[in-house]
Amino acid sequence: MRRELSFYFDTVLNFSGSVTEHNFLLRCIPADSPEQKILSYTLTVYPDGAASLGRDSFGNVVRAGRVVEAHDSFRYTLQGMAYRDDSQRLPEEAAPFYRYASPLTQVTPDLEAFYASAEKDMDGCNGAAIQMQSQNGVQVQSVPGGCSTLNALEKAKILCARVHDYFTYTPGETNVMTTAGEAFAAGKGVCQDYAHVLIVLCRMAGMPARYVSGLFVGEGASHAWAEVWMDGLWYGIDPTHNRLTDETYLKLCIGRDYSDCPLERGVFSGWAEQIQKVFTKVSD
Amino acid sequence: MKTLLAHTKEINEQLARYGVKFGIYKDGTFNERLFPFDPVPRQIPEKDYEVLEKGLIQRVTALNKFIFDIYHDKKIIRDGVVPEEFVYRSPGYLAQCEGITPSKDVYSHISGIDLVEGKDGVWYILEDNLRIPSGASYPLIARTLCRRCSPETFKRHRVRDNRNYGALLKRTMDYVNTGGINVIFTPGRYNAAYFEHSYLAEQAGAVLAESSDLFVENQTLYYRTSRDPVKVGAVYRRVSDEYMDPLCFEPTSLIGIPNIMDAYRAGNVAMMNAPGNGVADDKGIYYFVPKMISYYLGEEAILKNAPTYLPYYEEDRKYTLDNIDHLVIKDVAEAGGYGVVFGENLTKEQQEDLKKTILNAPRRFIAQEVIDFKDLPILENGETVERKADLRAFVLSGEDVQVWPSGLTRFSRNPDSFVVNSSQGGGFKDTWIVCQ
Repeated sequence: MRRELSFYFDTVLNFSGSVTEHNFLLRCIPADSPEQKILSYTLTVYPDGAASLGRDSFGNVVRAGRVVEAHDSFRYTLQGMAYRDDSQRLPEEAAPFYRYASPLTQVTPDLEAFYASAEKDMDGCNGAAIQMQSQNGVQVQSVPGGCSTLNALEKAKILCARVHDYFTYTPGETNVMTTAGEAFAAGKGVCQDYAHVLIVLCRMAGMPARYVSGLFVGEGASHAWAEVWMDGLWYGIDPTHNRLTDETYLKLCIGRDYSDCPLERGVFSGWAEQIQKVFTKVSD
Repeated sequence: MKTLLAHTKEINEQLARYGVKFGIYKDGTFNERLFPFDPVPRQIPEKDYEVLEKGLIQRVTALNKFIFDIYHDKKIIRDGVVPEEFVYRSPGYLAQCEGITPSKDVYSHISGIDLVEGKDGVWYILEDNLRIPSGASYPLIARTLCRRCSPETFKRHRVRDNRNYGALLKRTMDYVNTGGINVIFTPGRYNAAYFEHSYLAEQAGAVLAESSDLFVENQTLYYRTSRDPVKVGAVYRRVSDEYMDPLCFEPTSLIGIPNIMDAYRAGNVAMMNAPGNGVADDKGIYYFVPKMISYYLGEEAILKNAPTYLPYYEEDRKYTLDNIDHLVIKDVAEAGGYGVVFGENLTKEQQEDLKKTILNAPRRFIAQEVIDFKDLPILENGETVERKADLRAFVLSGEDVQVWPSGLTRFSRNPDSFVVNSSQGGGFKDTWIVCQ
């Protein structure tokens, strides 16, 4: 269903001491696409300097900057309006690297075993019916049980449900460097870890899969999910909530895994601990 | 020649003073070692060299075209010449470089191609080193020292002058330079190849810079001076891809330049060699180089690969398993002489284990016939002994592709070893192209 979303995304980094020579790269400016038109946006960065815009190899908008003077906090705020309509998607090729393991999505024996156990659900004959939830809790997306040939998306849904059931959502157990294998071994993690594990499994099933950082309707933190490619289209699939994405989701950037597309990455001079506070709000 | 040989000790002392060293990782610790010089030169007759030259130019031309293709249209994959998994599973392939077009389309500006001469007089390519091949400075300075110790040797022998390496390097840098100064970027004085970095900077008239000397602003690379910063148009970087830019690759790197990839992508600086070019010097890709030559250039490869088998292909896998006792097996992910196993040195049991490993991950290995390569004479404690040696030829790609008429001849000091990599403790010789 078409939606107009207003979005607000605010991140503050507080440093425990002064830092200088701060170089950063932001990937928070959403790219324009037929299904996600950015009607307007404002990005405020403070402190800021030497701003430049570019694109990376994954198609993300990258915003570079450099602040030489001493500062003890860094803040960037994005707000704007977007028009979302998934029926407007246009067919595109999936870059071949989305079929292969990336730094945070290497296959481990654990993951292989987990995939093997899910495989019997995907051969189309033994599988029980899989229920996925839509946002308001009504079961609208499901994969039938019994004999049938499952397409890639249906397989992805099965894997998504498996990942969702397997993990215990636990903030603070993993960090941005945690690999899919590590998160899987712990059985705990956050949206990033759910997405990484689902990506590994989908690639094992032979489908191109990629990582998405973004926002969805509501208030809180930024979110991450996966996309799988089938017949020319990318489908968003959210293992944290066990559902396909819809127009309540806003994509900020994509990559093979998190390490390709952090919303913000910076390096600076000075010894300082940093504490990050994020607030997001999306409404329609 | 006798006067030259009599100066072995002095030349080695001079080399040590210059800091001609190599870093070696052994049992988890890092040691620096002097790189012993043997004064008996390898001599290559000019007419043989001409064949080598043609073959090397052909090979490097095709390799450059291959890298361009991989990061753009990927025709060679779509046409089924190279299976895609050899590309996308290669550690040298960097998705972060997709779609970037380097200045003048050059990806491998300085290529170090390793060859050996078989007992049959045929030269074989052992491997291509396209990332940051080192070693040109060693024969370059050794020649200078030899000439100083024994000028008459070079009157009597008609040896092609090799002292133009700096000029060749400068021409290559100038050709891809996008406007600004030329810089050689070193990880710093504690790097084992620091001598080479500083010597080449001097020879090529480039500025030697470390991480703290450079910064990126508005997608432009600058060099700090005591006055205003100066724009950099070409950077010959001696830091590997993964440490080059903490905002694009390894985030913990302290020896990189933040956002240099952003400047490079915008076309505002030439990076030599271009990031991501390691996809073409992968040991698995090596197998396909002769196919690349015919695919891109429509020519037969002039220089032969060592006979190589890819266990990835069923027929080759069978051959490898059946003949493991006389093949050399190489792990494609390793470099510097590591991950190389000679089947004949293994017990029956170890051979069986290796076979299992290969069967489990056939794409990870290549198998090669052991080439019986020519021994070269070296001086050891005043006596002449024969040792295995290879040759690293340096090929520079700028406006045209040129071979440096010299090269680094490395030899194994262990009489039983075929592995001549400097990281395995070998020594080096000068390489003479001799006019008749």
